[in-house]
Formats: sequence, structure tokens, C-alpha cells
Amino acid sequence: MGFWEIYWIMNIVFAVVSFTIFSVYVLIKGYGEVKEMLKTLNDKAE
Amino acid sequence: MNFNYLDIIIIVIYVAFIFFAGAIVKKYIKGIDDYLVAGRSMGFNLGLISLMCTEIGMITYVYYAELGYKAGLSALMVAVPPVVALLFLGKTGFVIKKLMEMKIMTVPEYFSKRYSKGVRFYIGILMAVGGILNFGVFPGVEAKFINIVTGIPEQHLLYTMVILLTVVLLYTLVGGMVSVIVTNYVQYVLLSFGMVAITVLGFYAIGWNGIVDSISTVIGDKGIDPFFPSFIEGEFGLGFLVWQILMWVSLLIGWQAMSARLFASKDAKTGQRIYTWSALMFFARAIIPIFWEIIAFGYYTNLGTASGMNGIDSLPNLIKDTIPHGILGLIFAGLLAASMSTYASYLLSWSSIVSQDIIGTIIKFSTGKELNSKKQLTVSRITMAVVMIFIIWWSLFHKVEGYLYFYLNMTAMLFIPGTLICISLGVYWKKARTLGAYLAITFGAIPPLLYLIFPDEILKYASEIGYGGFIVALIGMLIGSAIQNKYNPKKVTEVA
Repeated sequence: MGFWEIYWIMNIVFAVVSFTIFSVYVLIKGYGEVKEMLKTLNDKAE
Repeated sequence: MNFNYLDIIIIVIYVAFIFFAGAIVKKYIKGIDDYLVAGRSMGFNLGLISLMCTEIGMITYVYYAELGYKAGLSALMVAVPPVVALLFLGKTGFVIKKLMEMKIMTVPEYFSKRYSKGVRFYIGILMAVGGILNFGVFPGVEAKFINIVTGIPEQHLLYTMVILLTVVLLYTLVGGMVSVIVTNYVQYVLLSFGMVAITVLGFYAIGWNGIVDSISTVIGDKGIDPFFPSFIEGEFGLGFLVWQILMWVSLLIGWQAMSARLFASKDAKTGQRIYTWSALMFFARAIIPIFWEIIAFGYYTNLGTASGMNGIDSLPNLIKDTIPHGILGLIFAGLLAASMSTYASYLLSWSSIVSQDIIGTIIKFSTGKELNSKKQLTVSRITMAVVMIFIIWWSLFHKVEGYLYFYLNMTAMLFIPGTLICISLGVYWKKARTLGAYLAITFGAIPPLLYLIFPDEILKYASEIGYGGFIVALIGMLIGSAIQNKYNPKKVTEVA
């Protein structure tokens, strides 16, 4: 296996794993922010 | 049809849910600020989700897949420039910090504050033309993708796209950026699931050795080594990297669909954090679809049917052929989610440029006063409907020549070099002047215009045209500013 092959495997594994973990993280945290954003807009509208 | 009842039920539930989730937030919209930038109340995680939803659509999968099909593993090199650009802007706050502190809603607004209203109007026109020409090919390309995955006959595809776009238009029209952000959240759940599922199931169907063997046999060394035959001459070598890094820095500053996420952020610090962490997501955004196409390439080469397909056909065929029912419905809902979120953001972004920077400027010029917030809202909504009708029409009658990836890059390049030069020098160079801005925008638009008119003849010079646009834009700014500083050194008329 040459340099570029190993390099691409590392890139692909890193991309898929980091995307999965980070997506789960931002979705969990983002839920609270959706509620907070709507509350802020609601308070402003009133 | 390639779907069973379970797949169809999943998709119908998803579309209905998105429509109601998007429409229900209408009550929060009280003015143009709420409509275009969600009252500047978006937090870090939500900003990240929204940015990724905007910038990942079915079209993203298709153009990256096409590159993977033509260039093999070497195409993965295109993931590097956005990462470099995002980390640079996120960490340094170069230009974007200033833009966020100015509390503007669209990028051209900066031009009226720093240069003149005429420059704002001029860049607004180029942005609208470039952005809408870019956006205009999405429905046609995506219709083909949907046609292969679903098996819906081609003659019915127009209706499918019109229904899809109408749903998006309706909820974006009523709820603006608030709808976009709320629906983005739901869409990101399906989008991220779909991306991971296609990767795992596709890879399971072929394995790593099958991929490398097929690329080595069909494309050769340049399919694995991006700098083959050398770093200078390679298709993804020095010239390509310089152009792409410059283009990504400019896109992140001047591409309204992206910078709108900055303007909607709570503060400048949040905006910078969104860009820094987006680097990770943009890396995956390029790597994963290119890898799908490489899997498809290996899969159909092994089956002996690759020759009957092109770069745009093989990915949807892979999804159709390797994903089991039920999961296919979820993944297709994820694909629709990706597209609908992109359409919603692009509709809002480009129509905001047309309504705020073109129509708004004309009205102010002719009547001498600005529209109130309520009228601006009405103008924005009408503009959005007109933009949607235009892109459906354009998509039906325009055929893309050459690489789809380069076409999309070059439509953006119509205004991107001028935007980067005008904003960065406007922020950091006191002697930047209005004439320089006009010349920078004009000169920067010429090379990509040549590409769009003669794509076949100058395809091989795409990188040179790319970074050349920035060089001539810089020359235009320096010449124009020097002339104006010499003959008209006062800046009184340029302050908004």
C-alpha cells in the first residue's frame, strides 16, 4: 500500500467518524438553542 | 417505482412535517430583521447545523460525485481548500468580524457604507445574476438524480420538482430565516443519517481492495496521486489549490447563503466559532460524496456495467441498487431534506439581494426614501416567488457544458473576486476608493465570463482563470484607487 492510499484511507475514516460524532453532538446541543431562539423572538414580538 | 409503501409513507410524513414545522413559526416574524436574519438570535450549534444544511444538497453530492468519477481518489484533494479557508477566517476573524460588527443584513450593504450606493447596486446585480445562474441548474440536475433513485418517469419529474419547490417556497415565504433554521434542524437529523448510512452500506457492498483495483485499472496513477505528474503540473496541484483557497475565502465572506449565517449569529464571536468548527463538517461534506462515487465506480466496474454510466448517473444507481427498502425511504427523505434546506436558504439569500440591494436601491433613488420594514417584507416575498419561477424555467432550458463543479464555481466567480478585493482592501486599506471598486468588480468578472461562454475551449485553463480573476480584480482596485486618489482625493461623497 503506497503513501497516497494510506493517506486517503485516513482522510475517509476521519471524515466519516468525526462527521458522525460531531453531528450527534450539535443536534443534542442545537435542540436547546431552537427553543431559546423561539423564546427570544416570542418575547420580542410581545 | 423503486419504492415500496413503507418508503413512500416515510417520505410523505417527512414532507408534511417539514411544511408544518416551517409554516408554524410565521407568528415570530414582525419585521425585516426577523425575516432575513432571524432577529440575530441564532446560537453556535444551530448556526453550524443551518450552515451545513444550506451547503449540503443533492446538488453537492452530484458535483462532488462527478469529480470522483473522473479523477478517482485524487478528487478528495478538493476537501482541503475549504478547511484552510474556514480555519483561517474563524481563527483570525479576517474581514468577517468587521462585517458582523457593522450589523448588516446583506453583503452589498457593506459596499454602500464603504464605497457608494452605485457600487452596492452594481455588485448586487452581479451577485444576483451569478447566484441565480448557479442556483438555476439545481432543479434539473436533481430531477435526474430523483428519477434514477425513485423510478418516477422523466415526463413527470417537472411536476415532482414543482411540488417540492412549492412546499419549500411556501414555508420560506411565510417564515423567512426563522423557518429555514427550524426546518434545518429537522432536516439535519435525516441528512446526517443518510450520509453515514450510504457510506457504510456502499462500502460494505464492495470493500477497499475493490475500489483501489478499479481506479488503478481504469484511471491509472493520477487517480490516486493528486499531484501526478508533479506538484506544479498535477490536475489538483499548486494552481488548483491557490485558486480554490482564494475562492473559498471569498465565498465565506461574500456568498450570501453562507454569510447570512454570520449575520444571523448572536455576536461576532459566535460567528467566528461557527466558521472554525464548520471546517470539520466541510471536510466531510466533500470527502463523503466523492467516496460514494468512488464506491459506485468500483461497484459497477466489477459488475462490468460502468461503461454505460456517467459521473452523474452512477451514484443514484448505487443508492437504488444497494440500499434495502425502508432504509431507502429514510435515506431518500434525507436526500430531500438536503435539497429542501438548500433551496430554502438560497431562495431567501438571492431574493434578499434582489429586494434589498437592487429593488431597494432603485426605490430609494427614485423616491428619495427607504421602504418601511413591512413593505420590505412584501417586496422580499414577491421577489422570492419570482426567483423560484425563474430557476424552474432556467433549469428546463439550460444545459451545463463541461464539469458541473467548474460551472458552479465560475458562476460564483462572476462576483467573488471583486467582492473579496473590495471588502478586504476596504477594511484594511484606507486608500481604497469607489473607482477602484468598480474596476475590481468589472475586471474580476471577465475571466469567469469567458469560461461560461466558451467552456469547452478553455476547460483545461480553469485553475488559471480561477486565480487570474483575483489578480485582475486586485489590479483594477489598485489602478482605480490610484486614479481617484490623484484626481479626486476627497472622500466626502463616499460616506453613506
